[in-house]
Amino acid sequence: MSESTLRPGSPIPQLAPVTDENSFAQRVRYVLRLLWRDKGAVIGLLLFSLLVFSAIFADQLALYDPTAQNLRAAKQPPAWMEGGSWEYPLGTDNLGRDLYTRIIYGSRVSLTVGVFGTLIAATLGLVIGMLAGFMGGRVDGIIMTIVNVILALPYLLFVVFIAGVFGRSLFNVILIFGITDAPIFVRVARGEVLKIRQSGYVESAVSIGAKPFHILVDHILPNLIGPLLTVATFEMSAMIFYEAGLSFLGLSVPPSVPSWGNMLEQGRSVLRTLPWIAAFPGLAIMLSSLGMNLLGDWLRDVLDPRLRRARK
Amino acid sequence: MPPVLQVDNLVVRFNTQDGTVHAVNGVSFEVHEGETLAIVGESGCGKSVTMMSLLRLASGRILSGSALFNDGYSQIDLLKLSEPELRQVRGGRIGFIFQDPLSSLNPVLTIGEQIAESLREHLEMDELAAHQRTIELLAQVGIPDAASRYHNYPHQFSGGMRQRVMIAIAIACGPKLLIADEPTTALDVTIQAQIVDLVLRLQKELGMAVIWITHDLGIVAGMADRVAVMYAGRVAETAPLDELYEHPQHPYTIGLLGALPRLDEQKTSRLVNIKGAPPDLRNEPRHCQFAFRCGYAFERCWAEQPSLVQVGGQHGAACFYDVTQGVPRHGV
Amino acid sequence: MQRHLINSLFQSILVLIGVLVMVFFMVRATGDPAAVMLAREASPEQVAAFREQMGFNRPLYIQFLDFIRKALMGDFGNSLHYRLPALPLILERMPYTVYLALVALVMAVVIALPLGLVGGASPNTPIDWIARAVGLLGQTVPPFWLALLLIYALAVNLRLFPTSGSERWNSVILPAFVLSLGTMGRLVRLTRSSVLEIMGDDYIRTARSKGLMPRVIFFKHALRNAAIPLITVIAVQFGYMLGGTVIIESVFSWPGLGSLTAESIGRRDFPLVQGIALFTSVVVVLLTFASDVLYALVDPRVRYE
Repeated sequence: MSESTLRPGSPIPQLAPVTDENSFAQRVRYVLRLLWRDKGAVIGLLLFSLLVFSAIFADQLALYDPTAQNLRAAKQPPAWMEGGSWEYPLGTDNLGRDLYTRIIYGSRVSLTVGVFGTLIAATLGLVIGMLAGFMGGRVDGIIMTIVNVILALPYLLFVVFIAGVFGRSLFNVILIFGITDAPIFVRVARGEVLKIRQSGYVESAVSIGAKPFHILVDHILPNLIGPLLTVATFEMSAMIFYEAGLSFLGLSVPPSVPSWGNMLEQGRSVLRTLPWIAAFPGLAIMLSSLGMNLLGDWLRDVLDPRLRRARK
Repeated sequence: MPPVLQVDNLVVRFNTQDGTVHAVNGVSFEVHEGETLAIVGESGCGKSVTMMSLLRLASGRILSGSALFNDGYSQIDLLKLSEPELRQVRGGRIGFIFQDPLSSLNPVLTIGEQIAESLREHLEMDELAAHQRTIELLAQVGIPDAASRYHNYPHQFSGGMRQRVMIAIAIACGPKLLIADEPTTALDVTIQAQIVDLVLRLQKELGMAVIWITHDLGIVAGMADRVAVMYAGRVAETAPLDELYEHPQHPYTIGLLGALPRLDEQKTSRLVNIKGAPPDLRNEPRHCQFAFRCGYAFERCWAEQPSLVQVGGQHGAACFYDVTQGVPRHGV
Repeated sequence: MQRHLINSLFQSILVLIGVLVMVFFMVRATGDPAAVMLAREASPEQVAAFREQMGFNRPLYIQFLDFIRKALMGDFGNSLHYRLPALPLILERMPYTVYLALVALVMAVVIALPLGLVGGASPNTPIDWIARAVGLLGQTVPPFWLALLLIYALAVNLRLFPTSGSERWNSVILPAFVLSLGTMGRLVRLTRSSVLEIMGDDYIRTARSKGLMPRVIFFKHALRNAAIPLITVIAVQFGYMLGGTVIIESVFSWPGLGSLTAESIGRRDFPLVQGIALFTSVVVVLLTFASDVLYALVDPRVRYE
């Protein structure tokens, strides 16, 4: 604040510091500062990165071939327990396959389901939700009825049912999750669209001659990204969960493909004698789920209207 | 007679994620028995925070100051009370009316209950007596069919009626001071007038002092005895009503009054606009906070904060410049 | 209130119709329900014969009407595996699932509600941290994994609980606890954020300005407002639990509808699965409607429009 001498009539100096600077670097730094403030979010980001890293660099990180059997090394406990060795850090299963390697490769299944399932659900949900919110009337009514019906059904039951009917494959699972999870995104997208419509600036845009498509893209879409991203992280976490559940029931990937759910199911039959086979895959599921939940929490806290103003 | 409420040099700060907000920076004023003091200022000037801090209803830290409350029984410093003592004052000796009657009433309790619980708490009435008295209060604030409306819920009333309920809650225990925080801002103009009349009538009936917070100078003109104009957490000027409107001394007050459209104005004269925006309260004020927007600011205004000085009988202004004479004030 | 209830009834009927449609089409989703239901080794002639026998050759709308007609009369088809009508089989195992879900619900509510309430009332205290941790863990710990861990730790090693089955009185504890986790987590989070939000609401400020005691403000003013939306949430969660027992019952060999579903899927006994899906959905819809009615009675804003 400059303390110049003023005479009546002289120009007025700058007032409150301008906070809405829009430079990209400024925004990135702002987001990073917010992230650091919430330690939970840092953990979440770390865990999520770990998951992605494992999935992408599985070949480099693994010690063996995930399907390689070595019956002489079978049923070994983890390295820190009696009878274990660092050759097989987390132990082996009853066919001699290295647990650590299989967990690393298992992340691929989980991440694939999570990412693609969420992508499909979010895209479907976004389009349908925007349609419903924008067009209103009967179209909206029909869409929302269908959404409500799907959301009212006992989820696990129906997913298991459909998976059973269609048979065991990763592709089916991704498709099923993508479709059954879309209604949640529909609700979110539609809700945001309605909120924006009510706030009046769509009317203003229309009144100055903007075409509906432009309104959609320029005004509505940017505001949807925040809430959708938040919901997406939670849904991804849920999908990893449910995929593991389906694997556990033998309804997801074939038994030869290493997935955390598969491994849990195999661990179940030898629980008394080889408990580590069930313990570690489950831990992996939990940590992935935890990571995404923490990220989702942070996103939700951060993406409130206060930040939206600073962005635009 | 000592004033019912005498606030001296109140300072309140808020700690937020973005820094410390200096919401109230040395506010002083007083209200006498039976008097109506209007506290005027734009949004963010600290008028609500000041009042709520007196009863510690806001979440800020009270750094310094005193608030001497004199209700005829005793004189106490509100800011030094313990929590249980404060609870006795709240509702019992000082009544508070808030701005939005819909959100300020509990939606799942009957309005009768929300009044009666105050009576039971402070006047130690039993259920029957409280019920009876509540019905009388409802009638007193102008709610028809009081006996049956006792059992209604807030959403079953119109906005004006809800505000009457709030008033009933506030005066239930016969407080000596009534603080009304923008009670008419959320209401229609016609209802506004009714509420103002109601409060004035109750004031006479109960012999209360009233502090009325508002940003609407029109309402002030219709009901206040004295006015205190606040800006950036300080009192800029305080005077009896007519004196303020006719001889404003602080440049801010002058600007506010000049910005009012008047019926007797020429059609061609433009509304005066105060240039600029209110200061960022995150910075600790070390000079006059109005200097940014003041057409009369000179070196001294940027060096220190002006305190209220007497510029007439009962008239104080916090300004280093004498607008009427056109020169900086002497002996200040 | 009438309008609200009629709306709710209408919605419920719509959902029921939707359920019927979905359940009907699910088995036929691949186009050839007969192939889906029979073992892979079945010959084309066997499949054709089966198709004829089950009436899959008839026009779709006739099949659908027949399906509805039978459902209304309590005929949910026949189990391929047991060669018995589905509904009696379902009713026989239903009480086990209901019992499990109820115990789980009680566990969840008893732990989650006080935690959430106290946590929300005093944020950033140790109890609040526990509340938030429970909220997070409840939603991230995979129940089937925890089930295995608990069985290993408590049942196998410490022998505190039976490893499976439903014989003993404490057989229900482990499976119910695992089932309760998801609900527990959700309830803690919801209660906590609800209380936090309410304590910042204007009418709480009014209550304080009246000089009421903190205890009164919390229990009389805040709690009542927090409790009302919880009714719906608890009902919905109970519905989730009823439909979400498939894996948990399998792991614990609990003889309820969930394990029946898992077994039937394995045996490709889809008519039975269809029956279970239909039954469970109807129960959930009824539950939701009942909770709507309760809500309308309890919330004065709806009761007295």
